[in-house]
Amino acid sequence: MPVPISQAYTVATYVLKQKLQGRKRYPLVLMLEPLFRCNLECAGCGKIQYPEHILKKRLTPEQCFRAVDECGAPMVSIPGGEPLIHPEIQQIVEGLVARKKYIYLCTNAILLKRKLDLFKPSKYLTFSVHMDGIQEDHDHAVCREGVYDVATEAIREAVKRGFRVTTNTTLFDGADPVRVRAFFDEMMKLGVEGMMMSPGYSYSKAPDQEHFLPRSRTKELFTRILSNPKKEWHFNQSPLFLEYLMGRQDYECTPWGMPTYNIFGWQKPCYLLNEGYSASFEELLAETEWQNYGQFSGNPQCANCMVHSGYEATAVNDGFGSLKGFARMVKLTLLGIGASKPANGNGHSLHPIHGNNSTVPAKAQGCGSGSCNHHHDEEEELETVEKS
Amino acid sequence: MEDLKLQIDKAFDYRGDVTLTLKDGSTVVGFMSNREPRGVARCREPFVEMMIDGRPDKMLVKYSEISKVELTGEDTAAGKSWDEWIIKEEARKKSQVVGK
Repeated sequence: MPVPISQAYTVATYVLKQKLQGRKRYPLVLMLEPLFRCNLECAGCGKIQYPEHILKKRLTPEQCFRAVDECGAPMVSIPGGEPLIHPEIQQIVEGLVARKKYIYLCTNAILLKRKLDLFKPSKYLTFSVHMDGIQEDHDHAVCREGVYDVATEAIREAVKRGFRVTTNTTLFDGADPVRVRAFFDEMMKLGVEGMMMSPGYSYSKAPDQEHFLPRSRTKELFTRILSNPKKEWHFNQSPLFLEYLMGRQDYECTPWGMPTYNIFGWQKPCYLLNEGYSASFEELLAETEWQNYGQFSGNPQCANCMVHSGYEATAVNDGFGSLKGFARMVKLTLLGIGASKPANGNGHSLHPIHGNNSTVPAKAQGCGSGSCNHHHDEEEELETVEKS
Repeated sequence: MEDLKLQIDKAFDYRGDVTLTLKDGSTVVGFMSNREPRGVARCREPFVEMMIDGRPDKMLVKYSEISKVELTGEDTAAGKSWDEWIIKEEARKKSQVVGK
């Protein structure tokens, strides 16, 4: 079971309660960023690009608790920056566990092994380790050699000590499905509970705008990665969202589903776009012109976004908010993702990748061109490697 | 006013400190963390919020009080794009090979 039953039950009852109360907009996961400072300088991330006096600032535990209480979401994701740098991260986590919030502490795991003693294993606490691929790809993505080894060692230790551990992966244009599949094998061998992934996102202040995935290539990439999933793979996210990434399900964005709170306030309208900050969650809900956001809004900034922070909330609402959605979610959970037929019928044949791809051919790099000829060549090459 | 709005938008996207010159001649130096061009319930006029080094709270300044906005601090995003990193990394690897 990729997500523990108690957590799924908590989310399901929360969604039903919101529906019964007639709430039109409600959050599912609070993205709580207690600081921006990080011990890595990934070129694809703009979170640390602030003046020193901003990087020095951080949310106090009390500010975190106020935001969590005000928002009311059953799950809290703690990204950053690197939250393990925060000197009061232990108090923050303890306070959230006491509130029975399901926490995903997102970390690059450089400090994880050293700081594990600060925490107690709990069904409410998950270390969500940022891993962007196999060793070479991950170290390249985080712009530092050796990080993959440190992170995998910390994952092993955390798993050994009984902590819940997941991985979270951002895939950018040019990602190679063969290598991603090999990476999934490696992560599952480490004993993680499940994996999470999302396409790269073009939040407006990120410096790496060129490598974010447009919508059609996102569907193509995820189809090639997930069409023939291995039974050993577990994903700690909604199977409906994964089907959405594969283009088998169409959704509109739920930008209020995963609101972000940080030292600036409540980010408008979502984790990715940065159009300002509200002083309270109530102000965020009341003052944001929500009709201006989402893939069908006509907003060009939203046109290519398929990111979890907007669309996984939609998938979760679908899964727990309607009988049809629930049935589809159960089916996918039992039979595995890829159990449904493509919904878009766009005539573009996407070839899934089969077999154990632990050997990565040098030329099988993602071409990112969207051309079927390239992909065909890539598969032929893969088949050759598998046969050999 | 349009010119000022553009200056404010640019300052909001800027990854460094900015200087606001107010109509009374005083200046405010800090990071522009927010700009609200329509105003909201807590301040119905358009405003910006500034985070100033050494001050714990945000300073709210109305558009109507501002005469000029300048990008005066270091741009912390400059030279840190992915492509620039790749160029630096390749140069580093080449120099290692030459060193050997």
